[in-house]
Amino acid sequence: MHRREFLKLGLVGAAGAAAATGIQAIPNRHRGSSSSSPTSDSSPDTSADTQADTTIKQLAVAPAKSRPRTLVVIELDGGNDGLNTLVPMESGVYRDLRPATFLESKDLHKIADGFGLHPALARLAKRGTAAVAGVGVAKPDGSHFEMLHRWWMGDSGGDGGPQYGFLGRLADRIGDPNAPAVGIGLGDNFNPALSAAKVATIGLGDLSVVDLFAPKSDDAMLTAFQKGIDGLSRSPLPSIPLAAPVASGMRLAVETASLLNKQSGEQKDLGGGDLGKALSQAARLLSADVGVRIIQVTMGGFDTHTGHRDQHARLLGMLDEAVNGFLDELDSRGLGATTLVATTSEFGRRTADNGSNGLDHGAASCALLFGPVHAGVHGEQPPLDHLDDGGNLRTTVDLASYYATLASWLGVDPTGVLAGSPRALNGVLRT
Amino acid sequence: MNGMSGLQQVSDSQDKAAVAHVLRRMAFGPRPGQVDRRGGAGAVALVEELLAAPAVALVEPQLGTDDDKAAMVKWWVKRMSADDAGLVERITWFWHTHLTSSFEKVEQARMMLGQHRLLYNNALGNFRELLQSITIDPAMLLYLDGAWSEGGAPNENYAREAMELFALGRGVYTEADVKAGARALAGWTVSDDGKASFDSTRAYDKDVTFLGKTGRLDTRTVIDTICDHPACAPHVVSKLYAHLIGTELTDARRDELAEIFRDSGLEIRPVVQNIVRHPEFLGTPARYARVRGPVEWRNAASAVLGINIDWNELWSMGQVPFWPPNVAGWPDQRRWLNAGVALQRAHIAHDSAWDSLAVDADDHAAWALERAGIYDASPATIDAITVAVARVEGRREKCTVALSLVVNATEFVLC
Repeated sequence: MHRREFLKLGLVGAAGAAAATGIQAIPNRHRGSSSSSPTSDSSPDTSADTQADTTIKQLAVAPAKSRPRTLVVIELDGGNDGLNTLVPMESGVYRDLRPATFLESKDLHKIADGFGLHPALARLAKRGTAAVAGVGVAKPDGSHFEMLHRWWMGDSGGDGGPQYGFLGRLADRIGDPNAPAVGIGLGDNFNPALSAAKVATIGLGDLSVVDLFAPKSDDAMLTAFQKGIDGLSRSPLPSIPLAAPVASGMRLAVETASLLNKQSGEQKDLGGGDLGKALSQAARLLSADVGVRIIQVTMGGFDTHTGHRDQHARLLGMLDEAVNGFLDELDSRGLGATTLVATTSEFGRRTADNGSNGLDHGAASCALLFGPVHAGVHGEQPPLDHLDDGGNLRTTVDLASYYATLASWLGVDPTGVLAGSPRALNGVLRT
Repeated sequence: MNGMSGLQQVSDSQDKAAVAHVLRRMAFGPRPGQVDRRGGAGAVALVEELLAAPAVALVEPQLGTDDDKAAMVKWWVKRMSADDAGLVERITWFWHTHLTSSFEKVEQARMMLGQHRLLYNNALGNFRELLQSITIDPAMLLYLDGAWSEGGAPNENYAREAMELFALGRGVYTEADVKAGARALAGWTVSDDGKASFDSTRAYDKDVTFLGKTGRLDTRTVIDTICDHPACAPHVVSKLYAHLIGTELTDARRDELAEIFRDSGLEIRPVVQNIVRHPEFLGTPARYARVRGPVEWRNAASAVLGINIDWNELWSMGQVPFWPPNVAGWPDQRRWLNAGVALQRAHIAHDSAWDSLAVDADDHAAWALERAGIYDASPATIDAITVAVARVEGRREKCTVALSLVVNATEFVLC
């Protein structure tokens, strides 16, 4: 939500460049040497900090097909309008509900009988998009915070059960406890979805920050600074209880930054604004294969209470350009088959216009998946003539089922990470 | 090493360390040179000075531009960074983290300014009056949805948070209390020009039972009932204690502070006074027991580096005044110790320290530590900075390396 304010304040340039970082609990990184994963994936075993270099060299020559599966989640912050993302075609009810914001059927990209994607999603429609209709929770809430929290935690009932984030729980299952970072948030404050118990997850506003720890032997001052930070991060002060977490946070920062600096390949401009920038960094990170399995990126601006049509088209256009460029980039690096891209959003928007060319907070929305997926419409479109009391779409696919699909992609049994024994959606994933 | 005995020096540095500690906790210092300028007056005297210092008159910012929200942030961080920023400024910051509102929902800076004025003017005043006022403060009515709440369709947001977060803590009220409180508080609206008013036609016109009290309760009675609840005093003093001391609060000490608070009629000053006059305030466990969050770190680091770190960097670290992430204020302070924030601090320091100062010194590490107000640095910290400084030649270079490192030292990241 800060991100939205960024946009409002026109700070995207300055802030985007140096942006944010937030973070998560300092994990006990040396608790165990083996992964707790139920699957026998091929997480790199960076069992000692000093072995990081060797590990990277070894992995750099590993064939791409042995790469572990990875997940990239794009959070569409503010509440993405599912009804104008996956649009019912030739529907009089749809048109009547939102005379100010409806989309013409002829402009849509048809992906299934009776359904088309928003006109701005041209590249992704052509490429192959799996759209899951009716994703939400049984008892929706109108608050951004409440619903974001449920999505972050994978807590559809809002019962406050999970202590760690959904992505963090996945990271705990599949990640190497000794990897500098199993989950990384890019481009915004640390996303609580990444908070993990066992493995390291961190938020980096912009990977350029890690350049601070790039070796530059001709820069004596930078080298001195690096040595100094390294020294400070190794200074436990026994008399100060909080000194240990200070040192471990700094240590983790140095290690992550040093490792990420060794990632291969230049940063390409994918287009699509800040999202494209973050995804370009994601491609480099995944390509480096240093134990990062989950990447989370936040894209703001979807809270379209006013000026919905233009704003939504602009945002989806950026999504289209950025994700398409990212998929190209993954393909060129041999990572296309092992990377799943999925969107989340706290809620959809009201089915009817609000009188100021916008749409207020809604309930069920649609989610999009890209990469190794079966293109088309999955789930079930909630009926427009059977709305809930608030005039919103009813949920047909619980967020837990959607998340179960992401869990199963990573080889994690959904019942171990989600309440209510949800099952993955059939037929979405290609493998 | 100017000829004094070793013992005398230790004593001096201990005194200075205590003075620096007081300035870190009761104000936003120490600013470079501030400890030395005090001459011989020690920490205990300083506590009394800071308690007695009158509040600086609030010179309000120029609003009415396109960038009012940014202007508000700049205005406040500048005030916190001023030499005369004292206890009132400090406790105002505490209240903003506790009785909080965000620009996320409060669209008009003028309303946020109104709330800020309220917190500033009552920072060391009476908690009951503060809670009464903030309940019907226009910014708060918008932030926690009181402005839309009607007796027939009450919004529970404020009633719940007032009990859960502001005054009582979880576990001492029921969901029925939340609903009853919401009904009784309904009827307030906020006009387009930012004025709160009560519309009795939107109020609840029947009896409610709220925290054991039954009747047609008005807003004032609801808040009084909350303030009279036995859980109120312990809850509020615990928050003040955490902000000022940072170590774990024992049950006995909490009861003691709660009694002072209750006996004074919920006056804030006597509680703060007792906390900072207590020997534990200057004791070893309290030293560096808190984290210097991004706002405090940015201001302190700016002073040490001798440059004005762009307030936008606060976004990159995740804490911007008037933009708390939610009604609970900012997350647990340990969050600021995590890797992403640590990396950001290093990045900011490295970027900002470049060429900011160039002075001659025998020992640039010692110079930087003193400039940062750290008189009790650990040997490990001194060593890390000394070794790094020795790697470069030239006074400009040595200053740069020393300063950019000192603001990342454990003794600076904590406070």
